[in-house]
Amino acid sequence: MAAEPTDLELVQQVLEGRTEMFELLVRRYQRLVATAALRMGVPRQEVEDVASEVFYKVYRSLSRYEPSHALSTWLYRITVNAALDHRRSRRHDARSEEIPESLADGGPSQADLAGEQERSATLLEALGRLPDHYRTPLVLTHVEGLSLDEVARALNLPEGTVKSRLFRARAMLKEIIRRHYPGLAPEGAFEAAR
Amino acid sequence: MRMIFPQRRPRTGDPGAVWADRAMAPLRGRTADVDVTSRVMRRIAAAAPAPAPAPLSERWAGLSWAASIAGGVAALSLLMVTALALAFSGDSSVHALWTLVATTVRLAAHGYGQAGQFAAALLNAARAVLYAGWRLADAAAPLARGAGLLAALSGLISIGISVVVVSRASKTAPVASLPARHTANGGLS
Repeated sequence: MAAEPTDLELVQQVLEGRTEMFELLVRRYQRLVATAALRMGVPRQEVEDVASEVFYKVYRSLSRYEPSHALSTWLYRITVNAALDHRRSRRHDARSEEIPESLADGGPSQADLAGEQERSATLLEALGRLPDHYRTPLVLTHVEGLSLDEVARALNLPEGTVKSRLFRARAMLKEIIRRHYPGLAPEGAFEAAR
Repeated sequence: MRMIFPQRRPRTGDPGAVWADRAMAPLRGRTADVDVTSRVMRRIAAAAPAPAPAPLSERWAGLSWAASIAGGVAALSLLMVTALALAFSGDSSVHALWTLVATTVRLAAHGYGQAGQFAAALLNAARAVLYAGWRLADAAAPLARGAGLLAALSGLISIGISVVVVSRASKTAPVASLPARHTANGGLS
């Protein structure tokens, strides 16, 4: 049985004109891209559009891929940019559409936050209050599980900048949760953090 | 120095990576299973540049050229045959056509004649002007010759007078063989 071609081999074959090989790359990474877009705040019903756009951009700029970095890191970078573009284009839309009524009023209760789906939606709402340049490294590090080095590459930033943004982002998120979404706080988190 | 408009800072510090991992755990359970493969590949195929039309081979180019010539000759032959058939069919419209053609030819010939007369008149006028110029020059020739003679004579007389004046002046000129000296007031003696 023939071994699966590596990412680099697939990229080279696509660049040599075998466009059909790009399909394998899409199949391999579409879940990663779509999930990252969802976690970056793209609404579920629009994730497919964003993922499709990401792969089209990847195909168009495939010749600029640097094989010294993992393809997934490069994909994260393009996905993050696409998600931020999408967010900016939707900024004029009423934000309250995505917020459960109980949260839009402020003062959510613990009972309202029951269920993992609602909890993650609320968390996304809380993250949405962070500026893009703080939210992005936070999601890539603590949700996607990327290392500091990978986040720095994905965002094209020095590691020191990423580190300081992470400190600040965590502090801001903690304050946002304390003020507006106390139900999201991990058990005993505030006590432990003090 | 205290800032007038200080930036809003969170009251708490960094709660740490462990806190963030726990706080963001619900988001890690959020996944998206999509299949965009066909959509992406369709878009790529649609965006690919359209294939360029294949150039004709030399043989096909020659054949198409010969076919064009043959087609042209056939069309011209058909036109000629139709015209001749019309001309000899005795149709009234053909008679009218002949009349029209004859009138056009006659008009063209008359116009040509008029143009010829105009050109001839223009040529005659030019010839008369040139002739008058020549006659004028011929009549003025003795005068020009006389003037030339007079000018030459005047020149000779002028040279003679100059020779006489110079020879007289050389006889009365002072001797200049003594060395010149500076006078007290800077002049030469």
